[in-house]
Amino acid sequence: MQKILSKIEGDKVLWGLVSIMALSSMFPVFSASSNLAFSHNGSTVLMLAKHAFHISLGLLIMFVIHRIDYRLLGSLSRFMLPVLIVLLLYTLFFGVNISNATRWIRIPGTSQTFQTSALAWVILPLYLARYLSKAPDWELKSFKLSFMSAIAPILLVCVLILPSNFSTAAMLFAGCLLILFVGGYPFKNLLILIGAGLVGLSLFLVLVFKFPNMNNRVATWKARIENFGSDNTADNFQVNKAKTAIAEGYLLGKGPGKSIQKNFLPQSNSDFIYAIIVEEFGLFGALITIAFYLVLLVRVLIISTKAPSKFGSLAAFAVSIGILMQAFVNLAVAVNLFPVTGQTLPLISAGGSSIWVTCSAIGIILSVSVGKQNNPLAQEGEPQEEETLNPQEPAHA
Amino acid sequence: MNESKYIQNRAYAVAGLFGVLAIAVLVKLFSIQFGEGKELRAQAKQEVFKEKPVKAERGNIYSTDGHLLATTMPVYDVHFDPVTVPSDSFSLRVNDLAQNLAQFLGGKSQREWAKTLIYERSQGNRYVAIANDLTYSQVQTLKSFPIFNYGRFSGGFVLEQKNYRKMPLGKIAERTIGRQRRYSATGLEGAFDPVLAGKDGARLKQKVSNNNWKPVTDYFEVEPQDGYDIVTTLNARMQDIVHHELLKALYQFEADHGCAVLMETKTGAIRAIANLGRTEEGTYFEKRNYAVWESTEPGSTFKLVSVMAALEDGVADTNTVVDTENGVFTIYGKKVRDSNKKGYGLATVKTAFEKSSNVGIVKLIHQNYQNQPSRFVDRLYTLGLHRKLDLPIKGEGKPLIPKPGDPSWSGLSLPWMAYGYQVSFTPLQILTLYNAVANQGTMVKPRFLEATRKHGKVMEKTSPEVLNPAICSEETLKKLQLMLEGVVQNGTAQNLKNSRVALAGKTGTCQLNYWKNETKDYQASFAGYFPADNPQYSCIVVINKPNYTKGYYGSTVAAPVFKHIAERVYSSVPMPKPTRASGLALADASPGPDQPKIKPGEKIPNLKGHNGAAILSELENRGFKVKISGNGKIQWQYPPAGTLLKGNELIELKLG
Repeated sequence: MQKILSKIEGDKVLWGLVSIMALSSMFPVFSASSNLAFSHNGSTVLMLAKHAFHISLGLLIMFVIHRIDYRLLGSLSRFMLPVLIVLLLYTLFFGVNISNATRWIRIPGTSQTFQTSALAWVILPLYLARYLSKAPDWELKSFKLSFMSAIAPILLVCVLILPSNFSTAAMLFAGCLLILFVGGYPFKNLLILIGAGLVGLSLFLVLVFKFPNMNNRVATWKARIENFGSDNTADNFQVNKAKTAIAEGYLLGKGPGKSIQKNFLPQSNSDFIYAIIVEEFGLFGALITIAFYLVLLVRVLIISTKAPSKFGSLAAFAVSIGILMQAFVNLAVAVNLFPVTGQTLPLISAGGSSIWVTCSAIGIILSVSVGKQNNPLAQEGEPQEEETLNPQEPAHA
Repeated sequence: MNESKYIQNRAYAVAGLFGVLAIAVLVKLFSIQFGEGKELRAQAKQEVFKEKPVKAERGNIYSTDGHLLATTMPVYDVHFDPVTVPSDSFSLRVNDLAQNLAQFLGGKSQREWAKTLIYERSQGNRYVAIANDLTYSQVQTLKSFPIFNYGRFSGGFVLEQKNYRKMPLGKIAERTIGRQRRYSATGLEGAFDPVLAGKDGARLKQKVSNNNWKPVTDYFEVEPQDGYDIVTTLNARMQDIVHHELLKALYQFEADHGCAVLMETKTGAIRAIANLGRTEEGTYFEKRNYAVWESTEPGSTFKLVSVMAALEDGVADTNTVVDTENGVFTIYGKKVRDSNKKGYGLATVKTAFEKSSNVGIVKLIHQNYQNQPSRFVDRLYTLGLHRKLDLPIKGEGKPLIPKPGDPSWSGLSLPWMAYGYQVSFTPLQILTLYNAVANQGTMVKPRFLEATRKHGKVMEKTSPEVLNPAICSEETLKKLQLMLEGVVQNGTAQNLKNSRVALAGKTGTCQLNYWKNETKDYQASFAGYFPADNPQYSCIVVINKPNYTKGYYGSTVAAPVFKHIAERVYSSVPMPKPTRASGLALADASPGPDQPKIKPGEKIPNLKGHNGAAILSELENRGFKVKISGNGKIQWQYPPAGTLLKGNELIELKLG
């Protein structure tokens, strides 16, 4: 045990935060699983065990990744990107269909399915961070020159995700814009990209509306967008139940396991788990949950700021974008601020893909924080100055 | 600005966005909890907590000899929600499912099933009927079929339980036992519904998923009260006899419908009642309760009333001579004919009755009452024939007796009434009258209910109800009985003479729709009782619209049914049950000759050595409380032999 603990490096606060979140997630997941277990003749204990397994494996992944130098990970991302694209293609054509959406592939030799689009949240940002930190200014300034290396991968990945998961594609696209923005990509080029994204999206919509039978998810999005704020749809049923759960929660909640709305709220252990947290733990639980992510955000900012290189700084921020966007969109959906989308609450919702990818991302952030600690120069002087003077980082690749 | 600072500032800007989002989420959260909160909480409470009814168990219906006639068992309806099934597994397995359904349920071919399921899915129908009234084991089989085996959510298997009323003895007396449905109640089920149904209770429940509710407390808010069992007067064995004898005759004469009722003379208890109507295929089933409902012109069976009136009024005696001429009597331009087409010459009233001479009876009544028709009609009213029997079973036909002063009254009314036309009665009403003759003049109401019970304990016993203590003088009664015996000995029903039981009764052959020309529709009937010298049972058999070419006379169509019923019922009445092996339930039917009688108000005999189970059922049926230990033969009893029994005391038995 001592040996393992001695191997744990990097930001202690982040380690603690993630462990507490992962452990705390057991309560709402266990409680909210009862509905699924009841209606599918399953067992809540089995579902809890499954969640515990997901969390444990996630923590292991996190541990392994944080031991790897983030620069190596950055280089790896160049090779991972084609792998991601192949996996997404495979998912699109041979994936497992759940609720009319082909988002999953079966992991060979197991019954475990994996949502490939989740992987994009780690690989694409890391790749972009690396590109943005390595590419010369003149290349970044030209939309044309940066297109093949930066813009094309973003568009390709988003387009591949789009048919089965509109919201993830849109969010990923937006996330990439944020990364490009933070990474110093010129405003002018960003506007071109946004324009291109909008054009691509409208083209896609025209296609699917013209051929409505091509993909039956279209009907779902259409309905979701059309029905936001109106009554009498399946989504509004969910929203209504989620709001009821939140209203029932009051200040201190009903107590662990005592949620009633979990019985009626579909996806109560993943997409709508926040509503169940509020019902069981009240406003107190609601604030703690938001605080978790805000503290995560703050730690990422600190790690990013203290990172020994531009790549480290950008990488830590970039991989956190996915977690934060999913988290806040999930929260916003649960309180009916956004229309219903199938976003999970990272580290808390049940579901292997989400947990593992989130843990990978945190592993990378931790790796960056380790890099900072191991850098003797970074430990001494002012971080900001150290970074710019960092002799280990070549000015341009 | 250096590059790192640049990244930081932009990162802070993005972080700020998240911060704003976090605040927005919190604001919305507050607004839900404190703004819409009250309404949402009220709505949730209303949706989630409800007092749900707790069904009271419906009582069973038993025959008087202990057979179960109707009981409640759970059955299941299966529906299918094809929309919830994922499209790939649906298209992959729909044919397998169709094949299984075609094999298991029949009705449709595999192709038809597949077509239906695919069509309903395309129409978005989420509630496709698959099968109704399945037993639990059938449901288990169905559940294992492809697609269905994914369960409720992925397989669209929708299961609903309902309570089905089962008649273990099959179609026998089905109409009389009846059905209790939400909007219609028939037969005894309907008649005694308040007793059978009990009172539903209520329990506070919390919704746990769409159709599942769990109890909140460990008690009932309102305790359900189970319905009482009812013991009918029907005797399963006699019902079986009556049913099958009637059925045989209906088949033989290809009749449209018929009914037969067996009534216990002294108590009015209906021991058997069969009502069979013809299907298009020429088979028969319990179609309508003809015996209770169908009011028709009775025809010659009504001559009993005419003769009774004449005897009571002293206008004639059995040996008064009437001239039946040559079988035709013309009155107001209409002809009354005797069925033998030549009449019986100068005949006594007795002969005219026994031979069922229309001319004789019509002339008797016409000559004596034409100037005072009210006197005749009043007699019918005094008998109470104008009133319904007020049966518990709904739908009793209304008797019809015209009276002078009615718009329809004419000179023909009286002579027509004399031989059973222009009046209308149900078979049960006629039987009640004949039973009164059998019962030494006391008219008792037909009874269907013997007792109500709860958990085997008798709650209430019914007793015979007298409608008319004396329908006529004893003298008249004797004459009527002699004449009814004479019908069998010398009259129209001589084919019943060599019966193993002495029979008495009257034939009736009534032309239906006689106002139309060329009609060949008849109603053949026979009403009577047996044994003639000591009547135990009365019985009526009415057969409507027999095939004209096969026979239509009461004597040939209905009377033999009566005879067969009488012989089979009576021959077994005094005989002991062959064994006790057929079950305790039969034990109370008729105690064997060697079984001691234990009755309230009498002394208890020595029970030692008797079969414990047999005695137990005997005692319990008599309403005693019994404490029993061991099994086998009785070794010890309390109270000791010779003690006078009151009827409600505890009897202790030790068996060994």
